[in-house]
Amino acid sequence: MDQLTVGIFGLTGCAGDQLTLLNCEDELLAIAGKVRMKSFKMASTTEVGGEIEVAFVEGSVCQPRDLALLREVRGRAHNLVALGTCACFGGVAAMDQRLDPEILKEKVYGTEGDLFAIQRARPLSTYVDVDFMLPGCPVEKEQLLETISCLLKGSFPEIPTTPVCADCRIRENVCLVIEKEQVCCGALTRGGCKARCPSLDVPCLGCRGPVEDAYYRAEMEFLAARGVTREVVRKEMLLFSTPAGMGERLEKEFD
Amino acid sequence: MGDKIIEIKHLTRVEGHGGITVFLDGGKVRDVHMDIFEGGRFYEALVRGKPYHTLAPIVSRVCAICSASHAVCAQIAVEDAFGIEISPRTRLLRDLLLQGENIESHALHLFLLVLPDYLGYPSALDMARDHGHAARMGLALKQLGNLIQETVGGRAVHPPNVLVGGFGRMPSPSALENLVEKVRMGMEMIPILVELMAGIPVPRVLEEETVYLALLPPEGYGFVSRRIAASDGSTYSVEEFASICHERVVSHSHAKQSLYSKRPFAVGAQSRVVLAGDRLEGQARVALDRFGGQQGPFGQGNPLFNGLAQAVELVYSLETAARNLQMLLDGAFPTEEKRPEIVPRSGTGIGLIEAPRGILYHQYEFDEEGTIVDADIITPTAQNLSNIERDLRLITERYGSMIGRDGLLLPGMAPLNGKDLPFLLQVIARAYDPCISCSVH
Repeated sequence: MDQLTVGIFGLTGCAGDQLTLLNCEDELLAIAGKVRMKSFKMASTTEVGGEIEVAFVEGSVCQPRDLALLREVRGRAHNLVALGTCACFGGVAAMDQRLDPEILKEKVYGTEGDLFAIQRARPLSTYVDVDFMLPGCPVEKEQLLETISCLLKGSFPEIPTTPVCADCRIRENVCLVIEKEQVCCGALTRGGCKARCPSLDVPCLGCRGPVEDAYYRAEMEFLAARGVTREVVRKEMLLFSTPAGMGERLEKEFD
Repeated sequence: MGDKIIEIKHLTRVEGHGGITVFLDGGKVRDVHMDIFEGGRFYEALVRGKPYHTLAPIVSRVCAICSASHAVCAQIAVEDAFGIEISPRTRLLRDLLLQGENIESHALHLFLLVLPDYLGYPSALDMARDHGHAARMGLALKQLGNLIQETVGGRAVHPPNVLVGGFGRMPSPSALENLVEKVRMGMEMIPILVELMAGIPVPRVLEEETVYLALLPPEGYGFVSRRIAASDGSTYSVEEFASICHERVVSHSHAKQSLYSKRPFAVGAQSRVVLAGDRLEGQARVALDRFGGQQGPFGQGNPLFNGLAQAVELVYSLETAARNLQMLLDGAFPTEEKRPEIVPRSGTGIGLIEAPRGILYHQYEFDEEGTIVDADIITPTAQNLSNIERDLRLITERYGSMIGRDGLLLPGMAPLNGKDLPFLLQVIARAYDPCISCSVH
């Protein structure tokens, strides 16, 4: 059987999802033996053009250059996997869609810095069809390995769609909202992270993106009853998503 | 701009997106650009209006490889602004976290990104077929660095456990005991690591007077200090850093560039060894001496020695991790403690640490509620960019006659012979271990 052809691509981001692949130290050489890597610029000078069976794309679209690369990759790939929260939901760069990116740019570079084109940070699905989303900031190693294993067999894995609260219950954590009066994003955030942060007594900040079927209105009422204002939600709970994610839905429930 | 003769569209085996363009005019080098075209996320503007406790989680996302450094540096800045003292145990654990990050980052760079150049492979994965031992050692060290970061920081990348004043949860004694054993196994690799690196001669392609900058701790070798030293003999306080490391916007790069007294300068493992190598002890000192000593090749302006400096620091970080663990476990400090009370106040705070690639500077202004009003982040790679361009220019001037031809012959040696000039330019840029996401941020 021919080897699965794979490409790993990065748009604007921190490279944390590509790094997570490189952090699979025990499995990396085995993976390399089972796939034909056509592009993985962070780790290899090998660059092979043409069709790819699976393209993993990390990062969000923040500039025309990102969009051009995304479209090129989509054109070459039979399957496109959005790797990480930036690719799935926009990530930190997209945290507040009401901010004008040109003003952000000017704050950083001054007026003399108008030297390159930018666009509002968006997830991949704003522009192209995405075949599979693997969220996480960064993605969980086990889920990445599961995804690769499934792709080698020609399928996609089942990634949890339950909220972080479900992970907290399994670990028998004390609820940070109910019992410790903290602002925690767990009820609205996709789990599958074994509740890493609440298990450290650190509130969830929503880094894995929104739960599809969360009951946003109930959550807002629940938080409002604990004195969590709309302003707090906007500043502390919407750090990793875009209108495609929970930002818009949460804001809407508050209107 | 003259004829564009050499264009490396995408530098590979580095973090992030950048290229190299050399402009020539009638055979003379007109200009050299390190093109940084990574997208901007504008962190310094994004964090405005956010509460202080969201700062570290946000800015750790500047870069995955250096995420522990960004998280710790941000918290130091918050603590500086609010006047918060951290406990000795927190200080030791943070240092342990940074040693873990340094081990992971240096092992990644040396074994997965740089070694393939010297051994003649497109990637470490290809290299592993013929040099399985070296590849596996690199991966094992990397894994150890990640395990330390997971244990202390709660995750190998973007550590959520690093809070203002301390940790969400201090790692348990049993988790630390587990690390003791793993670090001991890592230390067994030191002699093989040192001999492997010593066996790869460093091409003497460049020797140009260079200014090196690094933090100088009150004593010993280390990554946290409020004092900056330069190889011209000057020292500076934390408040002076932003002005001595003058950042400017350049047209071909999304990253700003820095100059020190109008000159390019270098930061990173090599700079640290140049400025503080005499403070190294134990096997790290033995490794340094094996590679020629502090007064040897490191301060001669050849960036290819950065790899050996990273090898010295791998040894240093392994030994320091072992020592920190010993201190954490010997009962000198309580294993559980409450974080200090955080009372925000208006004012400015500065965080300064040595990230794996060099000096990292975070400055924030807060209002009386602890909301971020202003931010300034200066990353190591942004500081190195001018020096990288200078070196690329010198290399092109020296080996320009080899443009378009294979079979470059390099003085004194060896492994890179037979390649062409664009290859050498990439090797030089890669030696700095550029972290491009950081440089733009």
